[in-house]
Amino acid sequence: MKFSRAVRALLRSRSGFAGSVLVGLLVLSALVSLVWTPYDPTLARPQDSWLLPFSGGHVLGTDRLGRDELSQLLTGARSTLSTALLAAAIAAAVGLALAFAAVLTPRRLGAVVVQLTDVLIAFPVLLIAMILTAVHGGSTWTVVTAIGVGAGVNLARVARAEAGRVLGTDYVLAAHAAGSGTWRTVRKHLLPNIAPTLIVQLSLVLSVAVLAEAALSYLGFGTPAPAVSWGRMLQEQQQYVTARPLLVIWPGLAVAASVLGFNLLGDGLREATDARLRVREVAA
Amino acid sequence: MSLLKITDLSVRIGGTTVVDEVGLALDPGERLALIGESGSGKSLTALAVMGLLPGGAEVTGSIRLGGQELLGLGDRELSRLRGERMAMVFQEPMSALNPLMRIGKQLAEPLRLHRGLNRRQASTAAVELAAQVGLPDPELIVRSWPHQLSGGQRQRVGLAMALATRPALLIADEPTTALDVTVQADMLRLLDDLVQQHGTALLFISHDLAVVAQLCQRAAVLKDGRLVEEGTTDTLVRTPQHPYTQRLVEAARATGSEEVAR
Ligand SMILES: Nc1ncnc2c1ncn2[C@@H]1O[C@H](COP(=O)(O)OP(=O)(O)OP(=O)(O)O)[C@@H](O)[C@H]1O
Ligand SMILES: [Mg+2]
Repeated sequence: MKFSRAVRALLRSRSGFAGSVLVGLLVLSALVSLVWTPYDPTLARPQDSWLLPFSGGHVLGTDRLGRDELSQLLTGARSTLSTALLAAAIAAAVGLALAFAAVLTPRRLGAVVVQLTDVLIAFPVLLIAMILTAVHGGSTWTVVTAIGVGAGVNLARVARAEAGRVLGTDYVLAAHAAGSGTWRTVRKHLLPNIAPTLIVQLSLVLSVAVLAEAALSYLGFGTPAPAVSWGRMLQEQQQYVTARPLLVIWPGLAVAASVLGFNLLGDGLREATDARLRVREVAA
Repeated sequence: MSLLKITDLSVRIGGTTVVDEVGLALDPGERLALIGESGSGKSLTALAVMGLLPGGAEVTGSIRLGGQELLGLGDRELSRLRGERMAMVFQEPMSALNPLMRIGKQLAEPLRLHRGLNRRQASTAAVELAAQVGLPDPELIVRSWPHQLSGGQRQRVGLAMALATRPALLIADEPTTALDVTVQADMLRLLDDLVQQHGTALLFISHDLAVVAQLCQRAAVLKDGRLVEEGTTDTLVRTPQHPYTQRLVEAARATGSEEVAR
């Protein structure tokens, strides 16, 4: 019930609605591509190369190798979405672990964790990814790990501040006074109260991850062939941009729309979970 | 034998001594007021008893509850005593409840923790607890969120929670300071009744002598972390010895309190 109320509040805000639609489209594309695409997205058919939109049954045309553009776009959503979700999961795990280690352990140890986090934050995500790829070779896992860890240390800082705030509240003190142990307090009081902030942050991690996956694939460090990725589509088509601009524009738009979608979703979630709005919403 | 015996309790935070060699004793069912101006160390004394001092505080001395030494106990043993043998009501009713948990769940938390009640038993118990502290429409209250309650109602919830397990000792840290005057009187009467009924010993923290005179037989006065005077409330009000206590009495008279003016 609490959940459905949150969803309603989300859809009522303009950015929340737009974000949900864009993210919904991304998810839908990825799901549809699992069971159906107009053509095999990786099947090269030289006799069908450079087909214009709506010719020969190819709604968005074909590329130099005769691969169907729409099928590639749909399938590319899969890499984008799975990378983003896995990266967000890793970010959440890393972020929470570092944040809790900072606030729940004895002071001295906590201070070390805080410093470690700050040092890690100074490393740019893309650089971490490139180093990992240079050492291990490109793979989805490299990308996901790099983005996840990079975003996780940033998340740790936000989560630590938020956890510190909640741990300082009277209701946490009251819970302890009632005999609640540390882990019970974390589960029942700390996590629920930092969750709204975390969810907003994670939706921003998703947007960063989409962009990073596209950028890394574009640079050749990302999702390896034969998996289809929007970033690699961009890279493969860019030299023919003057001849067939649409072939570059579509994956570009897809990346932009996904990034925008997750960002708007984050804004919408922030509005929906904002304490004051929540009070009004429940009281109504 | 005393239920609570505090001897030579000192608390140091960051090099400053905020509680300085305080000694107090409380018999079962007895009521003792701890008076003092803001920053005199009342709350820290209470938190020391509960074992809930902020990290980094150094405590020395002795705190015995029913003969058992509390200082030096592990977190697990303390958790078992907190909410079972000793409980606490806080000053700020607005912030002492988890905003994302329904009232009923919070009310029954001590019972779930210490009596092992299951979910269903806990929700029945929550309704009973709400009724005991005179909350209107208990069935509805237990399903509400904290922000839907008034300050007075939340403070009643806090009191019901603290008394759920019938602890031997209740520490009330300025439980009425944040309430309107009319609500304050109701709250004090309720506290008086319940403590009487259950035979709970009460450590009542306040800076209001008028309130203390209504509720407690004995009072101790703290100033800058030191105990400056202790005695029956009557004696303290009639013949205050320490200049600081004299000023407190003056202040209470000035605001026209009957109990103190007598
Ligand atoms: N977490 C803390 N860290 C450092 N100093 C603290 C902390 N808590 C309290 N103090 C200091 O200890 C002293 C006593 O504080 P305490 O909260 O016990 O006062 P109090 O008598 O309860 O006052 P009030 O009537 O305002 O509640 C104050 O000088 C305060 O600044
Ligand atoms: Mg205080």
